[in-house]
Amino acid sequence: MSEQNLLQVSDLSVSVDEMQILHKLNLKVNPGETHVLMGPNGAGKSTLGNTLMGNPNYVVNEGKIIFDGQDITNLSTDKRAAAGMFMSFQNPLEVPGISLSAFIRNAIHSQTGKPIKLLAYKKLLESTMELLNMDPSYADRDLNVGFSGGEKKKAEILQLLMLSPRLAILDETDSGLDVDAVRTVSKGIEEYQKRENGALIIITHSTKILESLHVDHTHVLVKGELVASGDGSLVEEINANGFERFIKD
Amino acid sequence: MNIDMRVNELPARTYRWLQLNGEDVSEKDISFSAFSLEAVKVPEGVSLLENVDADKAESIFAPSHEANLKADEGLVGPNGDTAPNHAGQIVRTGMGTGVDSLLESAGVKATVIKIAEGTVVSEPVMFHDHLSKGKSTISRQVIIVPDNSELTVIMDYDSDADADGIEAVSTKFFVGKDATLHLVKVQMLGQKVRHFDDLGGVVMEKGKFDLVEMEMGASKSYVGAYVSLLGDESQSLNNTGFLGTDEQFYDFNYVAEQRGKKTDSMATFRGVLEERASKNWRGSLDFREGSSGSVGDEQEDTLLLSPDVINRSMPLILCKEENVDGRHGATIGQLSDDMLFYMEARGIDKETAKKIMVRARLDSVARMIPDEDLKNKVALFLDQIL
Repeated sequence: MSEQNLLQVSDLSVSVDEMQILHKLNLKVNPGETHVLMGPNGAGKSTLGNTLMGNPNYVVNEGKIIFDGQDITNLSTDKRAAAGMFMSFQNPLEVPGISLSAFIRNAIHSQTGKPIKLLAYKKLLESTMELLNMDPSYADRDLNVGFSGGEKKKAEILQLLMLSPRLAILDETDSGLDVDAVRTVSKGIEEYQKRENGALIIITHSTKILESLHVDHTHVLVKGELVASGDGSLVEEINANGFERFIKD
Repeated sequence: MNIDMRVNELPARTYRWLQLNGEDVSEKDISFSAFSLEAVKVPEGVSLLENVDADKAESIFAPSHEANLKADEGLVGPNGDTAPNHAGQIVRTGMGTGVDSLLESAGVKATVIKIAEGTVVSEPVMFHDHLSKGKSTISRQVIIVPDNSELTVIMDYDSDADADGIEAVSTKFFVGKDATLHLVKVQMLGQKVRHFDDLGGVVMEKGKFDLVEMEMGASKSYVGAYVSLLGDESQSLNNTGFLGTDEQFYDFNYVAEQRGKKTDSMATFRGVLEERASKNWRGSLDFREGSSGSVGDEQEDTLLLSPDVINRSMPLILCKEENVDGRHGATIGQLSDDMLFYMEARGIDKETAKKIMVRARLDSVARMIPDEDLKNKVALFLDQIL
């Protein structure tokens, strides 16, 4: 492919509390591609997501992370976000005192450094909330405070759509959601793919969220190592047979 | 005049080992030049009586005081009338008798704010004081909200940046049956001013007292509130926010005295300490005999942003009734790594994240201020500090 990789992970080894979790992991993501990262519990999926985003609790022992041609292995998290990376959290944090709308506005301003036209911002926020079937009153509510699990995940996808990153890492975005909420969240992700030609790394161990999404590559992570990669059909195989054959191998 | 007084004493002296049962205040050569707050807005239906003798202004409290004395007959300290912080007070206040004595010494007359029984005044009464350099102010207000009525009173204090005197405010309130008082106090004084804010009052049957308070300026602030829930099913709601920066010192004392049946007291204290700021906070729920079915809850949430801050919290529950539910909780901590990571993952750097969290805490209280101009003033004040 002539196009430069958006993300290139080379020989990445990562430890948490001095315990090595990821072992010499390699991954390439091109612009607009959707990658699915699957694996049993404790395989290191969230570790990879957190490491890519620069969580200081995850220590890179070896290897490199290149994003858009820049070595970001030692770059701070806020600078990675400003460069165009995004991570939706498995357990989004509650922030009393700052509304969802104000938080997103702060984030956009921090990333762009430019003033925000309030009317245009409000319109975009409202239409995006509508797309996600979110009650508009949530915009003025304290960020994630008293939100149901489903509303928290929708608020994460709302941030994804409002911040327009080039690469989004979705960490178990579908966990704990009912069927309708999964469908809505999935619609939001699809919109991100279309609107931004955004690249995705979807971390999941269920396949519900993938049903309406086009998947380019599927990777299976077991005990911190990528043991298999394939196209979207690998998702269906895992859905039918589970991870057993990968664990045995 | 010289001021030497002990203020903000706990109802029961349980923190002697930390020497935090109360706080000593000492000020030399203070000359008060103003004796009232400026009434900047008095809506229709509100009567404002100025220069009223204290005895006359506070006579409204006499029946409840008599009833309390009878109920407490034979009861010695900490809760009887012999309690040193309240001995002889016709209505108990958070800071205690020291402020009453100071008001007497300074010859301060009261301003009485009153509405008629059965009246709901939707527009707030607004008081303001601006302290100039070299000046000190002392004032006393008595707010009377009779049966079946509702009133909002807002007080805000600011000063010249280099003001270096004292801003002393005493506020006493009476909330009648089925009546509601919303009281808002906002302190935005300069960093050399010392601030005394003494509050106390009674709430009768099914009455409600709703306090929103923000303490953000002054070098030293002594703030006390004593709410007596006398009537059955009376309520007290308190939301206090504070910000301590530089070397600011706060000494807070809040008491909810619950005497009536099924009374309800809920207090939330939310603040931030940074640099070398320090804070004492005393919060007491005092369930008296006869308060069966009452509930009380006090929650403190303080964010510590520097290793040099000093934060001392003294929650206390006193109980003379079995069937009551009293709770207190404290969340004292630094900005968590998880919270910082969440913010940074949205492109917000550490310093900005800190500022956002400080603002968020104070904004969560500021948004309860029912006046847009004052809200904006608070926002500007915080912009300057943070």
